[in-house]
Amino acid sequence: MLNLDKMESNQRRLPVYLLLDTSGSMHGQPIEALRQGVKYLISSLKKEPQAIETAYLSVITFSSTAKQMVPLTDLQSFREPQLDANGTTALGEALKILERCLDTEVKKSTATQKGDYKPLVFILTDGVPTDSWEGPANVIKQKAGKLANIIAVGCGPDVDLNTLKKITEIVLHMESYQPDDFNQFFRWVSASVSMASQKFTADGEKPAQLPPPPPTIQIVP
Amino acid sequence: MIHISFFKVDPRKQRELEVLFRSYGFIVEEALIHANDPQRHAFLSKIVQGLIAIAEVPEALERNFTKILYRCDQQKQKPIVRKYELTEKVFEIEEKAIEKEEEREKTDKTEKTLEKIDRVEQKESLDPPLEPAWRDLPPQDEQDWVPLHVADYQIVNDAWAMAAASRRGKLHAHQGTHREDAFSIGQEGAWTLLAVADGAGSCQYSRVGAALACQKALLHMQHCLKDYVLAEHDGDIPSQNDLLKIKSYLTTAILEAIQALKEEAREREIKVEEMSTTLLLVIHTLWQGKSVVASVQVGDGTIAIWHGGDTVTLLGSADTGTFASETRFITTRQIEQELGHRIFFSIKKGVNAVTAMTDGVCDDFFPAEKEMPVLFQQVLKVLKDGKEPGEALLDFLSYERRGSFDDRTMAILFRR
Repeated sequence: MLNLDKMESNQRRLPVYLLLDTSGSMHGQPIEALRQGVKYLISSLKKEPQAIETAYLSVITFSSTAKQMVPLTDLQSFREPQLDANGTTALGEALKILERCLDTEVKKSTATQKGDYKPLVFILTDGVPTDSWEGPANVIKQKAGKLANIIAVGCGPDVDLNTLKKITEIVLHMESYQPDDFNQFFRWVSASVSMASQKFTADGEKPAQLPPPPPTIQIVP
Repeated sequence: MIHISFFKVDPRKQRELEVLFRSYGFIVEEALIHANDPQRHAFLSKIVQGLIAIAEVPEALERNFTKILYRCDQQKQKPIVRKYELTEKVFEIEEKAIEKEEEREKTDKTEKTLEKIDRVEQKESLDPPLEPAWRDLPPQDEQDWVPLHVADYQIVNDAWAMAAASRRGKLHAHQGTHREDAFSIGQEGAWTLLAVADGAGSCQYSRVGAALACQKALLHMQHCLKDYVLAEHDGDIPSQNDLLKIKSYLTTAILEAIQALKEEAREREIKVEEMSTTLLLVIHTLWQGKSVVASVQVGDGTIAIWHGGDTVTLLGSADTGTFASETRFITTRQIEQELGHRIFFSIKKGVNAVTAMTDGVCDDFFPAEKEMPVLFQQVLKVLKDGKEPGEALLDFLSYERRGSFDDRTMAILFRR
């Protein structure tokens, strides 16, 4: 059997961005559940051959400031970042970082370059942003659907879902955030990753085909 | 004296290799890949676990080695081992290599130090190397059964033949779903016809759509081209009248395919979008010693003509968006209005082969200008290997490539 692995690689990657809220309100059980959730996600992706060969993960966290904790990294090399909960909720700053990453890290199709698969972005927050987020949200929303499939998940009772609707059309609500809820969420993320390399039409009329979310997560209309 | 970056875990074997290299006058160093190499972590983890032995040598020296005992290979379940035997000639080009190596040594010194520190840090947290465990499951859905793989071969005449093959991709095998690519090949008088289609992965009935689209488009062309002969005249290309007719035939072939899908959808009481598929159609005949090739393409994939050697003509352009797997289908709304721009002609002498393929193949031969000739050379070699050409093509399409797991389909007209 022929092996073409040595050909100049134009490997298509599936970029997956996790924007995680690590503000003070996540302190205690929620942040622990989030840590476990990220671990769970990585281990379940590592069981999927397609994810092993294509998925690249990045983690951006936001509390008093935002930071890209892990640049776009393949599963083999991915190391879970240290997640600690404290401070406020700089969602706007995180969105700015996301915009920059989508611009610089994700390959677009050109005559000589194979584009990456359309990136998946999951935003997970439990609060209300404390910085100026409307501008960045607007930029992301204008680009969303074109540059990435963005899914925002609000968790807990205090989250402002209207804020999330201003970032993307796809908003989900996870009412409680027990470890099991996070695990279900990340299981769903993993399933979404497995579907994301399917072909879709370029007219951008409908968002990516995503598997139905688990029963504990409601789609916000 | 030559520095060899060298790394080995098994101490006994390390000494053996060290002695071997030293006997040739090399200095053996415990240093490896560059700190900025993206493969570093994967590599390091394998070393830490003792899966890799690596002898890194200057590239210029590599070709002086009599034989490579083990290649550095990323294939499944094989430890990465690279080991060389040296020839006598190795010292002849020593001096050149020294300069290069020494230069690199200087610039890399800092990196190497960092690398060592990094290695120590990484040692504890490294995971076993990830090997994708692709399953091979039969399709779960018993409706609309399509064979996993299919091949066809037709002799046209003494000079030409056609072969086509379609393979279920690794992802469908893993998920236990059907192949969604399809092809049809056929002849009509002096015309040969090739059609390939790639059903949209997100649609339940795309395999039905892809197969139906190919069949209908081909049948329509055969109907149109029955007893159709291009008029002889003094010009360089067939008459305007002939070209316009061919163009309209190709357009209506796509429209017929769309219509067939709509009817099928109505019967099944499903939306036609559930049968979304790309469609590539290419026809060939000879006219005054030249090959007349005409094509129409909706969606991704590639139609290409090979003139031998490195000369390839790409007919038409794939509908690719900003991202991989973003494309158009014959079911895309208002696609009918675009068809006129999707028809291409090539009228040239010295055509060796004409092919249409789905993106499962052409994405692995990208950029096309550089890689398509390679593909043609490889395919023509297997087609003429003596095996049944359809099966030979099917075998060829089973090549391994990381990140390539789509269905693969190729139809080719070639000089026998």
